[in-house]
Amino acid sequence: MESSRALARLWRLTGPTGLTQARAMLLGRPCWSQQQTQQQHNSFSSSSSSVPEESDEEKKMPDHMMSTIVNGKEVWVPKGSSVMQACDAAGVDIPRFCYHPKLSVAGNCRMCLVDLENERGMSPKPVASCAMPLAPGTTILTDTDRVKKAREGVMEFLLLNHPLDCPICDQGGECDLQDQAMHYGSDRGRFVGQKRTVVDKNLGPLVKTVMTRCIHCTRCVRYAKEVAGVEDLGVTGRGGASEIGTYVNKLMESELSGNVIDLCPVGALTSKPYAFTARQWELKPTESVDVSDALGCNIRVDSRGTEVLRILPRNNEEVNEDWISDKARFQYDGLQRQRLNVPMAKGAGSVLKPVKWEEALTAVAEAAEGVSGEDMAAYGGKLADCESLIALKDLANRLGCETVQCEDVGQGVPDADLRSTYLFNPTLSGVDAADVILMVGTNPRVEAPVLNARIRKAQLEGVPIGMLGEDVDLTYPTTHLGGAPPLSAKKNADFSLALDQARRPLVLVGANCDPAVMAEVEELFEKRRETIEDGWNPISVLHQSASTVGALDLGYGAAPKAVPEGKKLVFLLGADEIDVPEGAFVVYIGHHGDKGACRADVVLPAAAFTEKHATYVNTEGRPQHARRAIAPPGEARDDWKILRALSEVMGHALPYDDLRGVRSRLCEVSPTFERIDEAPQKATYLGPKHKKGKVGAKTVLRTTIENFYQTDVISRASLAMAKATQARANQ
Amino acid sequence: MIRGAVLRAAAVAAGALTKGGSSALAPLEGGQKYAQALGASKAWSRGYATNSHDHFNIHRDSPENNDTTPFDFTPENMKIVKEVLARYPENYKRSGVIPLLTLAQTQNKGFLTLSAMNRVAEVLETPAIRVYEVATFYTMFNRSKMGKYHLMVCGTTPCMVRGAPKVKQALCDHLGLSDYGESTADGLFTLSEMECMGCCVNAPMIAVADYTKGVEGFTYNYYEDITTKDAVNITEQLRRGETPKVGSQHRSKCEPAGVVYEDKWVPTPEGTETLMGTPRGPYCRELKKEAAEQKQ
Amino acid sequence: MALWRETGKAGLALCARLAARSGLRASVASSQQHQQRDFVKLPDLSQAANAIGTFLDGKVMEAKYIHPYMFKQAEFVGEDYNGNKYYEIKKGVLYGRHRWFVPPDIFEYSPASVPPEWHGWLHNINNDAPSRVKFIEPSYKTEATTYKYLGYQPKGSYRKKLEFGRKRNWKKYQAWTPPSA
Repeated sequence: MESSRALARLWRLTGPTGLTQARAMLLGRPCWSQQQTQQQHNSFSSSSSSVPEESDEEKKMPDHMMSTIVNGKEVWVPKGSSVMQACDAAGVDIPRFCYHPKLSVAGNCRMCLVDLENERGMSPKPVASCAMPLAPGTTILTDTDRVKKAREGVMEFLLLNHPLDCPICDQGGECDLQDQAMHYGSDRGRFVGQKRTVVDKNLGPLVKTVMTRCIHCTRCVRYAKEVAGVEDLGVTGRGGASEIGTYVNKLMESELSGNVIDLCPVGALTSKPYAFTARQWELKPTESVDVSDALGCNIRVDSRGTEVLRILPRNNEEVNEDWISDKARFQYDGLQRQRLNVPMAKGAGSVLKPVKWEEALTAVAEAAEGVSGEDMAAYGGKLADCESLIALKDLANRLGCETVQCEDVGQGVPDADLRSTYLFNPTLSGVDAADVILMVGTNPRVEAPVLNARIRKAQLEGVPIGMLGEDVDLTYPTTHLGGAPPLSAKKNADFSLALDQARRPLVLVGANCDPAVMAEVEELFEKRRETIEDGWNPISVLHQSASTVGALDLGYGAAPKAVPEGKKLVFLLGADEIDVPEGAFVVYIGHHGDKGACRADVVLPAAAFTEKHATYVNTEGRPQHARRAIAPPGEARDDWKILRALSEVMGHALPYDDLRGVRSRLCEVSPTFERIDEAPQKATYLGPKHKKGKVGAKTVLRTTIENFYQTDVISRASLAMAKATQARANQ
Repeated sequence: MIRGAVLRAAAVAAGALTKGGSSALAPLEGGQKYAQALGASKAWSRGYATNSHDHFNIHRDSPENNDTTPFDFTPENMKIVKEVLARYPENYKRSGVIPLLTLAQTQNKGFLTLSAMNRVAEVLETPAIRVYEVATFYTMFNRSKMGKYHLMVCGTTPCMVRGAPKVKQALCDHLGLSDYGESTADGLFTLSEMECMGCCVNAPMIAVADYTKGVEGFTYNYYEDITTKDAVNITEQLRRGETPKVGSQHRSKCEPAGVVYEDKWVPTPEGTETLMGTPRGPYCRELKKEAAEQKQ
Repeated sequence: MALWRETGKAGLALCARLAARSGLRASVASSQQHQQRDFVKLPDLSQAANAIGTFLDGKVMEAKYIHPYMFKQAEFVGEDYNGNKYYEIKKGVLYGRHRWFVPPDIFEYSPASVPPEWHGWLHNINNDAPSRVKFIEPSYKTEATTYKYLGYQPKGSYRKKLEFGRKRNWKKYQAWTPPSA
């Protein structure tokens, strides 16, 4: 009798609610009650940090957290979480296709079904955990028979119409459908009919579509609508004949269109330049940062052997979330073209000829003999990293040269002494905290598309956005306030009022604004200093290239458009946009053969950003490391190593020999380089720094970028970017 | 192997069945079927669209339907547009997409061109793709050129059981078409299949959308209880410009006056149409007779 | 390999003699037709013939001795540009053995010599034999240059013919050439 009762109890424990029943039996009370015993706590091992250790700690849990039990484990999650977020906090895997943490919830894939149980019993149907808000007193069960059957059923339905493309599909090996079919699907299908096919859509030269593989998770539709801002994608038709596409033959004209490739869980949307080149397991990933714009988006460089095959975003909530721009993603094929791989010097016929390193370096040393410091100049380029910039500056200073400037700095920076005058002061995540955004002379859509997505997120929350400058379409509605500051209160009453009342306004200033404009902007905020929150500096300068802030931190000045006359020796560290007059001996240290190399007398080949360990400081003053993924081609070396060798040959040897030495020199110059990957402490607003000037009444400020896809040497050499430009032009 | 055998048996059976069907529906051999599919003129090319008279759920430019085709609401219809938009809140103009698309369609003779959809999107201040999504979802939005009268035959189960395929065959033969979705050469009639339109008691039925009289005179009438002869008569009356009798062709509404059985109107025998009298008792079908008939 | 060929040839000859001697066609078709045919009572000689027959490729036996001359049920479907002959037996044979091909040289052949249009028919993927159904060639089909069986040759393939004096460039990058004056 006893044994049979025990057996019966044991049998109950093996059922779907067995764990909860076991817990109830052990505790002597129903399982959702708040009071826990010490023994019970210690018996649960949990992987999430939000599980409380002590029972009286529970009362110390902040009010906004609630607890729930997932498969017998207790977790504490913020109130308002969905069931899926609670399961993720507990470390339990929930398969999903349509859910993405950065997009709105759709709930149409039905793969995340779980069982819920409360005191009234089990849920009558399994519940889509991505959409179900967590209610107190529910237990979540993800390993019941019904949930398993539901997952197998959903997987079977998804695979019904899915073509047998795995061998030719680029997503093979990293496909969500493959992985989840292995983990949660059944081993056989029962489909004997004909699979439906869908015509492929043309989204442009960057995104390849094979719409037969689409499982209609609508992630791309929601992304295009919410993040990218181009509402071109939609679901046309219905049922088995539904198709995702643009309905008409329309290009996806967004600078963030490449991110749908990451979002798509199957191989429906893949990268066109990367198509059919490699499988995911062949690639070696390297964590690095992107240099196509000044945001320093975190990327992962996938390489195989000696070439970079693709670039994917890394998640960094503070800088770029999960997105990177199209230029960052697709410009890597420019790393394979127009490369400088041997040192060159002008021979007898004044044509550059390949020479050996010793000859090239001695050629420079000979040219530098007898040239005084005033007749020399050193210019840093757009993609120059901080190590090479400091090496160049040290070398130039040792040679007596004080003209050390960086191109693309912009005249709006008066002096590099005060960091807050040239940084994006509220930091990029501060955009989420701003309550009014005013843009002056900048077009973030082409200058920093990922920042544009962030501002768009703010605009959807209701933040008013005003634009002073050219009236451009930024994918979200803005109030156009005029061509240039000052802000006329009469014409833009609503916006001025919002600005007056704002506690955390943000002014996005293009780096190329002249000082008069900057003075006007500062004037705007002088008047409103009392309302602005303490510690909040509204001025945010948006630079356009990756080297600018690093150069400014290291003491570089702003380079003019053309080198002044009289300079006899000019060092160009990848600077291609500076006009050098005749008569100057130009030493070009860079990685692509562009204008600078054509003008140069000596070409010293350097490494591109994927081929060296480098530090880049982004527009908010955050130094980040780019890491070396492949070796530089041919005879090319790291830039700072070239400068170190040059300094030795010229007789003024630099004091550092290895990377650690250079980096300690960097820290010596500026302490920001000690705090890698950290945003600087918020720099307070210290009053106006620019001299007031006259801003023309009819000026219309505009950005200097003409073509988003081709702004630096790498993107100009890239075929994918050229195709994208052509597609835009033909549209 | 077994599956192969089963599939082959099924194919044989299908082949046997289609021997009696129209040649247009029989599967073609190898290369021929590819060539035909590229021409996209046969019935199965319309299998990709939501309804039976459009081709695809994406837009293909044609001379009569591309982004330069002009479309704008007439001033009278603009008044209707304003009245429709007034029903919805200012920031939810998109709610009026279905009435506006219907208006655009009826104004444009039953043809929702791309520019019509773009104009509706402009009026509603929504991105055009949202309007395209709605227009491709519903079967009543025609994105291809329609004839003046759009004949829709209901093909769902109750009508099918009562002879809808016969109606379709009769109309196809009479109008010289080969399948659903086609229009007559003179541009007068377009035949298509529709889902259940709710008159299952009066099966089979067709509906006719009349695009000859513009928006004000647009009618969408059901002609129910039709035999093949009735269907043909209706089309001929429409061709002559007359108005056929709307509703049931043989009874007043849906009273138990009779039924269309095997393409004939069979009135109910006397005494069995109401329940006022005593119902007749249980009776048995004449099974032997039916078996003998079936054997033939 | 050569030995195999010899034994094969010898075996064939032996079987031919056996078959001619016994005059029993059914006995030679040891592997395939064997089960489905209703044959007359055989003398024990058939056992030896069967043993040798199974030693050789059953299809080859059929090809050389059965279809063209003996059994009318095997239908000659067509021939392709490589010389392969395709046969079919519609009824009376086990599924899977009802379609086959005979290469021109039965001792040195590659299954890869079956061109794509015949492959579908041969492997029961479809029922369209190119001799019965007109096939539209894909637009990407290129002229097969060296090896008739394959059209596209990847860069490193030894079959890929280069112009005289050309070398393959395995550099993954393109170097910049300076402007000449």
